[in-house]
Amino acid sequence: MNYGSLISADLAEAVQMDRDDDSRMREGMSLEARSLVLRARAGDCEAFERLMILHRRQVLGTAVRILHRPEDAKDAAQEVFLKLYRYLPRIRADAELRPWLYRVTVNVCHDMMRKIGRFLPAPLENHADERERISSAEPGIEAVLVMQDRRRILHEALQTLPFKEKTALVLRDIEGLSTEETAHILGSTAATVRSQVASARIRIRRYCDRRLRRKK
Amino acid sequence: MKGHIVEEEIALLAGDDIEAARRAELELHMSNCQACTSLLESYREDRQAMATLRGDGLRAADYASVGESVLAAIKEGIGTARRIPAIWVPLRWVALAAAVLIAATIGIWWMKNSKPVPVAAVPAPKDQVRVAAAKLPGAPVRQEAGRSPTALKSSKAPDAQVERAQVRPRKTESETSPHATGIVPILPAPAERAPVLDDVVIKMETADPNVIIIWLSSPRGEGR
Repeated sequence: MNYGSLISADLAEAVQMDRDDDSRMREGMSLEARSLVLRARAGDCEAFERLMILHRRQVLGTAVRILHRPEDAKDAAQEVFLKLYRYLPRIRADAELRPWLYRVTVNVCHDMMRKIGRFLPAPLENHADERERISSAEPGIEAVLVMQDRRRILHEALQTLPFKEKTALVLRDIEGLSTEETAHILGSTAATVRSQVASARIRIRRYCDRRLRRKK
Repeated sequence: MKGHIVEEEIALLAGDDIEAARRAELELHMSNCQACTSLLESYREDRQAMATLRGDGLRAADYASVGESVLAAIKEGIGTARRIPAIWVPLRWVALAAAVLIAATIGIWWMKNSKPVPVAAVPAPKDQVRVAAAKLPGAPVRQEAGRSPTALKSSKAPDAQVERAQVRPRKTESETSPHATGIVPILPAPAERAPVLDDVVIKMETADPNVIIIWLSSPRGEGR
């Protein structure tokens, strides 16, 4: 769903609906993924392609939030799916593929971040031009622009977080996983994840405050 | 509750990451505290806005390109584990069996053809070797006390039942061949071998009191 055009009153409802859809989809996907894993293991290329389609949003979405650059995220996603292909014979048919993919994605992103090092955040899109264009064309669109500004600042704030806090926050708040699921994926405890998530939320809040104060 | 809630707890409360009992306490406090309530509200807004970032900045073409590049890499064999060709699977057992057979054959051949390892003797200084010859019980012995082995060798006994033995002192290392193993040759001189010899025991004492070399000699041949 494109949240960019929603004003804040509708946002909570839209996010909740999206998450409900996700959980329903996950159940269906889980069953489908199991049969696809079996078929792909037997050498069915179409089944593997379908597996990638089912999970590409999860893998690429997580990678882009952690690595920031879409190009790096695409490289990471490619590596993750190649690992999936390589490890297909070892994956149990009754095992959940989603947590495994999250874990591999996080590990691959961690390796890539170590290779490429830290980098300056780049804007996702040219918001200044867009803001100018929309505000002159449509009256009352200010709320949308405020929301877009907020998302852009949040996106930048994410890049300032340490890797572990960022990963925990991405899985918990963006991917919508529970604390226990996040802890399982990160090989950590729920208490540690709670601490990391709280620290990350505070840092982001302070970053947003600083940016908004500077604008005013 | 006096004062304000710790910010970390508000951050946890925004994501429902706090225990129910503690949550009730915090909500009770916030019903009377505007500052904490507005802080909690801002955290909740952040969290909602954060959820909208999912998949942000990616286009359908990005998803498609990942799938295509992965399939292309698989076709090229990049990133896949090297697999053993199917033909080698049965053949590797044959190769293993052949290797074991060859190793066993070499082992047996070596065991059959190998010579016994010579026993190393304790080296003794030349001047400290004392030879004591003694006749075995029941055998006639004539031994001249106080004579050196050389003297024993050269003595001309009227009796035919004379034992003769010669012990040659070990050569020094410089006199021996480069491959000398330190074995003391204890051989009677062929020319002066006694025609008849009874059982003889030659006992050699070395500088080390713990080491005694005993040579048992039993005569045989024409003179017997």
